[in-house]
Amino acid sequence: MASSTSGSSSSSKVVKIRSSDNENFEVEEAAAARSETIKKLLEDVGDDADVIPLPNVDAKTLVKVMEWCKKHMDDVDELNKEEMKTWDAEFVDMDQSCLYNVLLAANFLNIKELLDQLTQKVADMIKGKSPEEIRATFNIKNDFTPEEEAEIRKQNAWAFE
Amino acid sequence: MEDSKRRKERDTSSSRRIITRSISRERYGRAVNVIVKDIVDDILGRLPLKELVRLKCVCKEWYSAIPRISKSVRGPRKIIVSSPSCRSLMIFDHEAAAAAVDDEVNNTGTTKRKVQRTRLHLDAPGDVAGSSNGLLLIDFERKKERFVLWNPLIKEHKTLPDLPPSRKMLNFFYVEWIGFGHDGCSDDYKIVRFLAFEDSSFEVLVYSLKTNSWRKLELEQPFSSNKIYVVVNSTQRMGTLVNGALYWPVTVSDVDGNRFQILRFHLADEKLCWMQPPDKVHHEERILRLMVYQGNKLCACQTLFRIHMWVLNENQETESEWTALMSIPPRVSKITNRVEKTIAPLSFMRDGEVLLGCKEPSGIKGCRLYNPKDQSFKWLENLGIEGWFYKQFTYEESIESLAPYNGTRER
Repeated sequence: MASSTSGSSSSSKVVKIRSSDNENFEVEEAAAARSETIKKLLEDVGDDADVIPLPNVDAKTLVKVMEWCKKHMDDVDELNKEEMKTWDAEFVDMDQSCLYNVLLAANFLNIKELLDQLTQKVADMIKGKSPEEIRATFNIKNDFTPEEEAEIRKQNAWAFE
Repeated sequence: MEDSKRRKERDTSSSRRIITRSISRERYGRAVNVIVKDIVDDILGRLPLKELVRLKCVCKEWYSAIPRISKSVRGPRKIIVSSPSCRSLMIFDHEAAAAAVDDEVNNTGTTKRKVQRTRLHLDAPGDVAGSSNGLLLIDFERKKERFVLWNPLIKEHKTLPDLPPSRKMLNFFYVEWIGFGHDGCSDDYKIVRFLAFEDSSFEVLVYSLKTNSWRKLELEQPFSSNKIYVVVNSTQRMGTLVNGALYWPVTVSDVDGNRFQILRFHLADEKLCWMQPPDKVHHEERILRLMVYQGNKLCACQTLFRIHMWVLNENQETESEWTALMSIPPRVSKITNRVEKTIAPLSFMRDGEVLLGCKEPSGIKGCRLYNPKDQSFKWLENLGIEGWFYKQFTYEESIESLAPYNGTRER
C-alpha cells in the first residue's frame, strides 16, 4: 500500500521496506539511501534483499521520514535553496508526539541532516521558556524538593536575571 | 556515551543479522533510552549558555548533565569596544549586527538590535588586556591593585595580587607588553608582563591563577643579554592569543635602523622567541597589526595603499611560513578626497568577509564589509560601534568560574 515512486524517474530502482506494524512500502532507492542505516543494509545484502524490516519505526512515522527523504533525494542547487528551506521549516512544524517519533526514527535510520533539523527544532521550542514551562511541555517530573530548587536558583542567580 | 556509540556502530555493521532476526522490543527499549540521552545532550547543547544554566533546575538528570554539556557550548565570537572614558566596555555581536543592518535595509527587522550588545561598567578607567575562554583581564593601570580577572556572564571577578617591585621604578624609558591566556597543558590561566628597558635588558613576570602569584621568569638567550638592538615601541601592547601562544608586533632598532619583529611567548613552556614578520612588511611604516584568523591562525596586517594581510601557517616539521591572505583595495574618502589611512580590519566574519572600520581619534567610524570573493564592499551605516574604541580581542561567553580561585560573585 501507500507510497511509491515519484513520477519523473520511473526507471530508478525501488526498494521495499517494512514498518514495525507490518506495512510494506516501496521507495526509490535513492530516497531510501538517504538513511545510512538502510544504505548499509542494501550494500550488505545486495540484490537478494526482499523486504527490509525496520522494527523500530511505525508506518505513520515512516511515511513522514520517507516524505523528507524523497524531497532531499537529489542535490539542491543554489536556486532551490530558499524553496527547500521553506519546505524544511514547514516539514518540522508537526505536533509534538509526531516530532518525537520522527526524531527517534531519524536517529535510528541515521539520517544526519534530518536529525539535525529536528534537533534544532526542539532546541528552538525550548528557547525562551522557563523551567516550569519546559517541564510542562516535555512532561518532565520535577524531582527536586522546593528547598533544593531554591538553592540551585540561588547558586546560579546570574542566569535567572 | 561511548557505549551508545559502540552500540550504534554494532547495529549497522551487523546489519545482515538485523534483517534475518528482528530486534526484540525489550532490547530496543533499552537502546532507546541511551539514544534519547544522546539526543537530549545534542538539543541542550544548541541553547545559549544562560538559558542552558537556567534549565539546571528542571530535573536531577538535567542538573547533572548540564555542566558537562555547557563545556562544549560555544557562543558566537563577539568583538570588544571601549567608551572614550575607558569606564565602560561593550561586548558586541558584530555578526548579528551586520545581518540586522542588512535586514533594516530590506525593511524586515528592527527589534533585534538590543540583544547584540552587552554594556559593562568599570569602577575606574581600565583597559582590556586579554580575553580567553570567556574570562577578561582588565588592566586598571592607575590603581594599586592593577589587574582584575572577570567573567562578565556569570558576574564573577578576582582581583589579582600586586605586582612585585620592578626596575621600572628607576627607569623612565621602557616599553611594556601584557598578555593573557589559558595554558591547556597545565589547565591554568597565565598573565605575562614584559618590560624592555633602554639598556636593551628585559624583565618578565608571569602570573599563574592556580598559584595566585607573580614570579620572575629566568630568561635565556637572546633575551638574557641582548646587546644587539633596542626595543623602540610596540604597536599593540596587548598580546594576541593563538593556539596557546601570545604574539606582539615590536619595533626594534639596530645599526640598520628600525624594523618589525614579532615576539612570541608560549604559555605552556614559558619560552620567548623572536619571529620574522612577513617578507613584504614595510619596516618604515609605523604600524603592524596582529589579529586572529578563523580562530586558530595568526594574521598580520598593514595598511599601506592597500590593506595587506598575511597568515602564519604553523608547521611542526619545518619552519612556520607566512602566506599572503588578501589585499584589500583602498577607498577614497568622500570628505577629504584622500585615501583613508586609518582604515583597518576589525574582525573576520564567519562567511569569510572582513569587517573594516576607520580607527579615528574620535573612535570607530565608517564600518563596512569587504568580500574577498568578488572584491566588493558593503557599507554598514550605524552598525552600533561608531564612536567607540576598538580593542583587539574577541570574546566568547563561558561559565568558567573564578570561585575555585577565591573569586568574588557580584550581587
